[in-house]
Amino acid sequence: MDLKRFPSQLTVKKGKAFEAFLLPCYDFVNSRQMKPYELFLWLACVALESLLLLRGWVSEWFRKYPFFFVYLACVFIQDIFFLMIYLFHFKYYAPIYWYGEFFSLVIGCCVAWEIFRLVLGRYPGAGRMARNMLLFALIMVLTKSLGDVWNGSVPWPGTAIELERNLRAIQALSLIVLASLSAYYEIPIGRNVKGIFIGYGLFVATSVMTLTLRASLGETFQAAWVFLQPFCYAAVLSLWSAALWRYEGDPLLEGQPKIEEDYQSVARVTRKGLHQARAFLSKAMRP
Amino acid sequence: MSGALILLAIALLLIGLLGLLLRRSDFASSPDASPLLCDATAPSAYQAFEQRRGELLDRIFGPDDWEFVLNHAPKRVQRLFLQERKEIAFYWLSQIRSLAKIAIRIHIAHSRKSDELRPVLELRLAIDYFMIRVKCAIVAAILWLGGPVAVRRMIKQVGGLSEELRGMLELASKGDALSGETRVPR
Repeated sequence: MDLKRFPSQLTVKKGKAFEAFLLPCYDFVNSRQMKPYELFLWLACVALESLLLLRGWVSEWFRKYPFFFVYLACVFIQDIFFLMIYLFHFKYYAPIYWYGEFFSLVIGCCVAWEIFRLVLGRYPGAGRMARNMLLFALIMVLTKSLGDVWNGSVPWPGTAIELERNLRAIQALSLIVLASLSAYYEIPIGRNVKGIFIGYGLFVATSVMTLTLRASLGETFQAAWVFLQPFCYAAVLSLWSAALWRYEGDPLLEGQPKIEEDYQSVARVTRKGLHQARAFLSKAMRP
Repeated sequence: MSGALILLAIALLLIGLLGLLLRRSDFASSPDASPLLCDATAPSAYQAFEQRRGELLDRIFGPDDWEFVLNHAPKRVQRLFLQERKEIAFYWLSQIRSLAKIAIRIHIAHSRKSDELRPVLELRLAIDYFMIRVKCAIVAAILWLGGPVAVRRMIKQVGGLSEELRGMLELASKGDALSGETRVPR
């Protein structure tokens, strides 16, 4: 989404522009000609988004994955709108770009929440674990960030790039929690949901990487950023298109275990088993 | 700069985990396979292991057989003996690994649906399991490098080394105490 909005034209200019907008410290130097590959990537993304939306409309997946399709629809509308602005009213592009970016970020949070619901919705135990881990991670991150800001070792995010990078990093953390729990608890995930999850995760991860490098390296990374961001987004859209092309139902819900056992006794048995394995191992190593 | 590195590490970790998720086959974690299979196989695995363990351990890792072969058999037989013992040791190690794996998989199959799940207990079990895997990897590495007899020898050496270290520390602390006692108060 946001990726193909070609941030190449945004140049850091602290001062005047900061007064004009709430957050971004960016301003345009001048309108510039769009390079052919930029236009191609932009149009390719619009085409892929429309394909996905059409697929969702025909198969009625709007009902199944509402936030995901709302997100796609918003980004699709934004892209066309931004393209018009870019081509015909270039001077308004910068502020609109960043407000659009943060709007997408907010809807992106809803998509992350939907992925959580789709993956862990039927597994209350793993879901509870995810909530606890996420809460713990968020408290740790916020405490460290606030501590750093308080000590003055890390400045408060001064630019829109830094703010977006930090918010994307929090999203990335939540997706790390989800990915590790679904791997540990061997949660079965259907093809479509897996596609949405992996696509969105890749998008967030590449966003964190490119934004971090852009914020750290500055102008030297600008040329790479201009290409990488839209390219990654186009790759993610292709992945989503492939994953959502064919419907595949969710894996069957597993039956109840043969013997009803409460969690405590199962945990006790597991600990006993693990201790036994460790004891065998220690015996072999005992001189 | 360290902040940027942390953020890059977070992004790379997420990409790695997504790759793992992509590679994971849905059939491998098919819903009914793990709990039922584990429920059925677990007791017999424990039982079989329990029956064999005493006999196995001393034969595999003990020095008696090896010393006998070393004194009475030609080089070719010694090589053959070491090779076979190594294979048995690796098999034994895989039994340990599968025992731990069965235990944790039974737990996972039950706990992921449980409402009473306790994060601290889950974390402790996960760490226990991880430590067993790490120990298995260490033993496997020693086995691969020096054979089954080397495991106990190496542990003995490490044990001896730590004893020596402890002795030295005790001596040093005694020395400190002595120098404190012999210091003439001014």
